[in-house]
Amino acid sequence: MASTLIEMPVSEQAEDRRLALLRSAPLNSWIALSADESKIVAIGKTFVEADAIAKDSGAKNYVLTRTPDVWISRSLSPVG
Amino acid sequence: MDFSLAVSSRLSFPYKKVPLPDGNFDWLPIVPVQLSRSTFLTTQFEAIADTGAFDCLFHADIAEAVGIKDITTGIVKPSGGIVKGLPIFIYGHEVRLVIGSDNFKIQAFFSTELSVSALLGRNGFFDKYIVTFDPSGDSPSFSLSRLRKK
Repeated sequence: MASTLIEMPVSEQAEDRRLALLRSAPLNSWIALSADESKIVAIGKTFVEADAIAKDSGAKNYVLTRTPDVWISRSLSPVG
Repeated sequence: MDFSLAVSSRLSFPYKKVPLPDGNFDWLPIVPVQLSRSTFLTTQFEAIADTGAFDCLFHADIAEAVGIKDITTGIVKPSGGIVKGLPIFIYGHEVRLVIGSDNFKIQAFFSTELSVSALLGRNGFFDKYIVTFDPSGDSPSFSLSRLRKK
């Protein structure tokens, strides 16, 4: 069967922008990042709250993520 | 396990940067995923591919988005970390994991104790894909090739 490679584009500038956004976001929160990760479109205390705020703002194709209580290196499995 | 090596598609993702103290950062293999259950489908969220995790673990907040009002109604089991300490209890519910155009049933475990959105572990993720981590180059990346059972 033929294999199709689907690549997700990224640039160094975009990654640095993402890093700055994560550093600026409140800890222990859910944030919605715009599709190009150039801005935070919503912040909420729960997944559902951040999602609703993002939807209400008219944002499309955003992705939700959770900020931890502190940014440290982690051995992830299973708790932080 | 008896798998064919046929793969219908390969998904490639860049590692993502996450902050560390003192202006440093780490690269993590982060997959944009969704969960579905019954008529519910979540918005896309970030999940870390974690070969050290036995199960696929999700923050309890995500359960609400797929209509699970009380995670403790699921299958309960203890789960331990890599350091000494009391195990936490995680709660399993049957959901579908959506990755790109692919989706499949998994036993997803939920916990309020998770510090990140989600971890994709061996049971439910790494048993579904050939995962290639490529840390070379300025922008590390990883790819997923779906395994199909014969």
